[in-house]
Amino acid sequence: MPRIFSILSVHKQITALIIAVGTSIILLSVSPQDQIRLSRMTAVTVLTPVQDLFSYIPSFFGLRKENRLLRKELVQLQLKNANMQESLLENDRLRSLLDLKKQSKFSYISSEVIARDTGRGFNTVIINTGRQDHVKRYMAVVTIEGVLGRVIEVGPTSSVVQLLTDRNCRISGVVQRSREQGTVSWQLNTRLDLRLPLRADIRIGDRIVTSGLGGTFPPGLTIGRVSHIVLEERGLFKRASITPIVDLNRLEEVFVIAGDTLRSPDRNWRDQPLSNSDRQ
Amino acid sequence: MIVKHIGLLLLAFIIQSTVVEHIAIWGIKPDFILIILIYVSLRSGSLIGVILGFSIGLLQDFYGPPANLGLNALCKSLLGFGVGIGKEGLYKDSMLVLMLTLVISYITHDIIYHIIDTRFTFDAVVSWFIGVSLPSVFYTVVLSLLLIYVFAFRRGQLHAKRLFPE
Repeated sequence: MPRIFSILSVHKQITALIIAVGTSIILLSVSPQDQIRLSRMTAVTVLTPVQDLFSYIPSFFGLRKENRLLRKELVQLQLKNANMQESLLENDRLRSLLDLKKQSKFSYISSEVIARDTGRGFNTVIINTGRQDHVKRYMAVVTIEGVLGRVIEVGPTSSVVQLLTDRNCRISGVVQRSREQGTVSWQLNTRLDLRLPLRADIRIGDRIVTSGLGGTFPPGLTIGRVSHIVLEERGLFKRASITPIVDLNRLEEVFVIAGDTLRSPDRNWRDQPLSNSDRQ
Repeated sequence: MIVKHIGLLLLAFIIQSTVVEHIAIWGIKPDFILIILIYVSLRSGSLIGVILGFSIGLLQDFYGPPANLGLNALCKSLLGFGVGIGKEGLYKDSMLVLMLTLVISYITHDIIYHIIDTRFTFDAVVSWFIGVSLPSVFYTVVLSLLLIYVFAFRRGQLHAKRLFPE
């Protein structure tokens, strides 16, 4: 045994490599634990002030402030418009809605993207709002165009957002025109896919929106548009490739959707009572 | 010198996570972290290369998806070790040798990364390699040449003696 230690101390580089590779493999193999989550958010929280400072380099202060105000107003109007479009389609489909239950009024937490995933994929971003701003895990994150992702880790002043381009992010989607439902997920780092039964009514150009199932994303938010449809090899399903509506190369202002209807991931959106402002 | 290297790596990380997005061309980004890690490994050897590679890789993993925790740490450890061997063996005064080291290291790093990330789906690896990795290698090489020009230029000659003094 002492001989092994003497050999290892002579070949420090090999020893360090074995330890580093072994630790990496263990981390890859285990699911995230609370200690790892804590370490992660500690590192993010420590670096956030510096990254926040660097993120201002490409920007101008005055323009950013004005932009921020205008975008906030625009996203509220666009989301209201998306809700109204959903209501119209639902009305036409059902013909009478005497006992309609709609989602509650949302509030939005305006945030800025201050850092991005530095790995080979583009799976996460860091935003500059956290617990102090009432951000919680699994809150949906959107831009003025549509769905961006959801919050997966929250620190005091920053949060980690899992993008819809992360392989582990799955969103329940629905074809806005035909109401065909499926699950949207990112496939093998190359495309966003919606998997549907073979006879599903879907066309190129169809808009895919969130269905509201699962409780994380409110219904009616745009995910993307269908760009390509292929049959699977076994012929039981078809896959629609979706171009995300959000331009992931131009992320600056985002909005975290907050509200007491969003706190439990298991709640169904359609069970929420209609608020007075939504009835008008 | 170790403190200076740690500072350089942290600075590269911060630049990579904040500013690089704005210099991307058609979504293709250079990799500052790789450039600095290769420099540090060539300057200080395999042991420092492994330790700093593991550390900066783990920091990258903290910012990435939870399912890939450890992946960057693994790839950067191997890169730091492999390149660090060149501290004694490589002719570092040659720009061509430095650029070849960068290209081979980048490609090897990306192949290992994508093989593990895609869970050994080789079609996806090839697709990603051709569509993203190769253009990124080219962009990174151009950027590293610019950085060497800025930090090592002397009397109109490009050489690496100021980067790797004896």
